[in-house]
Amino acid sequence: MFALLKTGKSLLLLVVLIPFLTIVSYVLYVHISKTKVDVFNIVQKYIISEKITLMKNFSDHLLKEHSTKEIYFLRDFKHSKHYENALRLVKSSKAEYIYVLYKDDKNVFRYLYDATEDDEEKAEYNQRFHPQTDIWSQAYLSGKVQIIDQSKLDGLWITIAYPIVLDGKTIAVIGADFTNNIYLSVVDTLSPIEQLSLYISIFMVIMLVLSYILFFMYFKTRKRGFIDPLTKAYNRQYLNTFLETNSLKNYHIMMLDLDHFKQVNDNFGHDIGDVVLKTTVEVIKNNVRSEDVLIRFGGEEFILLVYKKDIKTSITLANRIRDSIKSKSLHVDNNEITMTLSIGINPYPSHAKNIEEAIKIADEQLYIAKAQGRDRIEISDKNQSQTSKRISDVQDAIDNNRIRCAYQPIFDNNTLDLLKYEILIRMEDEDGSIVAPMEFLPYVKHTQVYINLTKFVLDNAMKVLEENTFKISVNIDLQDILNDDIVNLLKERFENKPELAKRLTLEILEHEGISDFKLIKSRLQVLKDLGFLIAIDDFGSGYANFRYLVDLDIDILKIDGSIIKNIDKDKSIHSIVHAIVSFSKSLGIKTVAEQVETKEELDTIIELGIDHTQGYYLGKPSFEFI
Amino acid sequence: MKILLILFLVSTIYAGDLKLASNIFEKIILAISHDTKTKIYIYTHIEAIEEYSEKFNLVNSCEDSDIVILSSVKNIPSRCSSKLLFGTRYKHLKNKKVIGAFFWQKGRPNVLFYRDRLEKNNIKLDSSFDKYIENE
Repeated sequence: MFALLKTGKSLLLLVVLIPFLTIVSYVLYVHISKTKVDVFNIVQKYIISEKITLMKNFSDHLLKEHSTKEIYFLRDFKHSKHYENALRLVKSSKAEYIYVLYKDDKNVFRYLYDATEDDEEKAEYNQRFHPQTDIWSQAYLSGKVQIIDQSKLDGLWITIAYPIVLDGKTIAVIGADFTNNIYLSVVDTLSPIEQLSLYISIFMVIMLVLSYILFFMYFKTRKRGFIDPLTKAYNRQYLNTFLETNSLKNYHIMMLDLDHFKQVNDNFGHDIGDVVLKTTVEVIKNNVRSEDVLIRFGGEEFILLVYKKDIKTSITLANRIRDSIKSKSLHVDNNEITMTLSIGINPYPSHAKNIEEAIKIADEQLYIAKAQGRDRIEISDKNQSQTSKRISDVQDAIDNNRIRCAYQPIFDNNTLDLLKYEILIRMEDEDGSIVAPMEFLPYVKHTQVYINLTKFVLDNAMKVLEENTFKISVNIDLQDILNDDIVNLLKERFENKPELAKRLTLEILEHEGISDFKLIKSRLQVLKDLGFLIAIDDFGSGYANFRYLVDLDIDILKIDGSIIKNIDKDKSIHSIVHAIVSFSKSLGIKTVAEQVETKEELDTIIELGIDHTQGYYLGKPSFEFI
Repeated sequence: MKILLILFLVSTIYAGDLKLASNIFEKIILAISHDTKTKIYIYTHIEAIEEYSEKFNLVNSCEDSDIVILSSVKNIPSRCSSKLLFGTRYKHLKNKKVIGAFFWQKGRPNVLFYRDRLEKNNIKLDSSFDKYIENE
């Protein structure tokens, strides 16, 4: 019901106003009908009372004119004209019959006088009268007025039997039939109002029924609009509508993505891809409960809102779905297609600022599951909410053009001429202050926002390369080159522009040790084939070691600023850097000294044979080129 | 709408009266002839019988009939004069050849036979008709 109420004023009209008006119109109709009956009863009473008075007058007049001895005058045909004329005075309108009956010696009722003017209806003197009711006998016996409803007889309404009593004995009965003309005239007067209210009631009922039908159809159509035509799961438009009436507090969010689905489409065609998607939805639906909501979020990605019990239950459900998908095989043209599913779970969606953030957290976990080999389930923790807010801030900055690129120059040590610029990303906060990358980049790692940032930097690099002749360096995480999206992005941007690619150096940062050198090597080769130069960034400060120089085909080695600092004073550092430079030269790798801040440091690194210099001494990062 | 409603009500009430009248005619004819296949000739027009003609064995000429039901006593064909005549107005009984009548008066159905006319035609009605038989 709450869901219905939220659909607005039209629903209020439908649920409250139209039924209310329908009831009011019906009550009005019943009231008018009752009033009609009341009015009619009053009219009837008045007519009867008036008629009885007239009958009494006639009876009194009759009895006054004649003495007891002359009682048999009544049956004298010679007087009938006279008394029929008198009787007509009692008859007030054509809408009634009035006559006098008597009982003959055999107790048969016969007409004495009949004031009816219509020849067809007028009875003859002494004509037999067939009483249809016993009011005549009762009037005779009791000497009291009798009234009966005659509506069952054709055209009649009521009949009054008024006894003419002489010395306590009934000698005749005056009969008055009111035809239903009187009734109809009263009905005709009141019926238009009654009918109008009846029509209004009927109209309101029809309106009510039509409204409910239309409303039902509207919801049916609306529901159809929320269903993905291919898989019959809900589509993403449904999500916001669903959340209008449901709280995220009651759900865990799962992001589910079919692994390597693109390969299915590429190898077997989109028709088979569609079958895989439909099968996937069937399998998921078979594993969830009716209160869980499955949404096709796009492509091969699904959101499952799991009506929550506890995290363990959701994890069990995720595992069940994952296992079911894995065990489901499709046979196509003698090929067996087996799919796997990566799942990211956000068990605390209500901690997020909004649904988008809650989904991002689940998406981030999905991303991790994918990066760590797929066919996995990853679950976020409570701290993810803070991360989520930061992610949201960064996306907001991208959307509002508050991501900016600073450029720090790198110089050739032989000539001290400008060699290239390193692009350094900066975020402008809403208050205009500049935020350093380490304050926001770690939060967006493994999210779509990170990809968006990378796109922004690459687009910027491309623009700079196109507009200038110098070279450019951009930073890229070692994990990024394992990411298909980022590698594809680089391919997409530079595949057809080798001249620009040659002037772009990818400075690879490393925050975790490399476990699979073979994979990294193959990915680096892909990038080198595109024309990029590969640099190892911050060498000597983290995981990067000499094995990198041996196993990976790199072009440039950037020696970390923490080693360069005080190189002119610290002999041991001097020796280490000397070894790095010698080793690099032997492998044909160029070297760059980072964070050079003094003349002494510059002199020392030139003396050591380092090829290039970057640092505040020669040039700070700036939003403008030198 | 209103006109349609009234027409419907009038037609149903009207149909109800005709049916009642046809039933009464059916009983009277059976009482007179004691035969369900009594041949009836209508002179000239009795709607209640015509409307429910399936109840009656109607014939097209007086010669072929056993009973003639009259809507009028004016200009009754001479070939009908030998038949049993039955009226539909009280005044039809003025004609001495009419053995009885069924008529509506003041909204009430009335049936009336004259004893001597029944006897003259050797008609014996069952006792349920006694209250409708009068001495002339």
